Amino acid sequence: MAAKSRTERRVVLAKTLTILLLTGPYTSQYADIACHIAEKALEQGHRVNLFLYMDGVHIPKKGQVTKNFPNILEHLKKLIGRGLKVKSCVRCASARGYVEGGENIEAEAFPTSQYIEGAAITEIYDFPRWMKESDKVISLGD
Amino acid sequence: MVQSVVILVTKAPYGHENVYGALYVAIASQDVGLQITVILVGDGVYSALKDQSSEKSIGYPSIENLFYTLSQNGEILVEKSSLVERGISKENLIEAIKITDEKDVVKAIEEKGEAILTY
Repeated sequence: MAAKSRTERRVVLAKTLTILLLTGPYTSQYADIACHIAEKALEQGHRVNLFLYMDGVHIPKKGQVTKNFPNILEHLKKLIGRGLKVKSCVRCASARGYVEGGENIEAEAFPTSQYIEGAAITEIYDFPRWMKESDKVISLGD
Repeated sequence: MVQSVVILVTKAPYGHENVYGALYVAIASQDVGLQITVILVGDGVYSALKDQSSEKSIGYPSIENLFYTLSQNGEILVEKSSLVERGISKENLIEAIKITDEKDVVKAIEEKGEAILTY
């Protein structure tokens, strides 16, 4: 019974966190910090959204091989598997070569073969919509 | 849930994508019904200068034009001491932007910063 009540309390307290990330991987620690915050929030039962903006849109790019740094892509895959929602700004992603066609209206996303599964390129409006649904919003990057 | 957002701009325009990116988010946020307050501090105050000609000179969208779009439904504040430190006088600023002191910057953050985005 005690375990059940803990579960019930956890559901009631679940909140939504949205993280805005402005910088790409490796040149700074911001992406790592974003993933670590997301991981801890997910562990506590919260919903977490990660919106990638400006150079942040590089983060879901397939094929990252790191020798001396933690591989941000592997961390991101793990978090997507745990429920992290990931979207990239289409303006930023298009400028950086990730958008490969017009919007898929049904999927509400722009096509790319360069991203891992679970990360989508979408209209910028999805970010303020996420903010409206969030209890907390943080921005990271410089 | 978030209804009111403060966007802190701390960088000068054009040298980085940040200011354009900040105002792009600000305008999109207004479009979905969020209340937006943009605060220019530190080097962010350079964005408040009038007569910007980036479209002709470097082919970048004018930040000044974005401020006019934003000001129709949002508030744009520029922090006074950051202007003084940089020798920028009131006469050189875009009309749509309101000069404010540090106390009122803090007040705006307290009252309107349900979410605070820093660029």
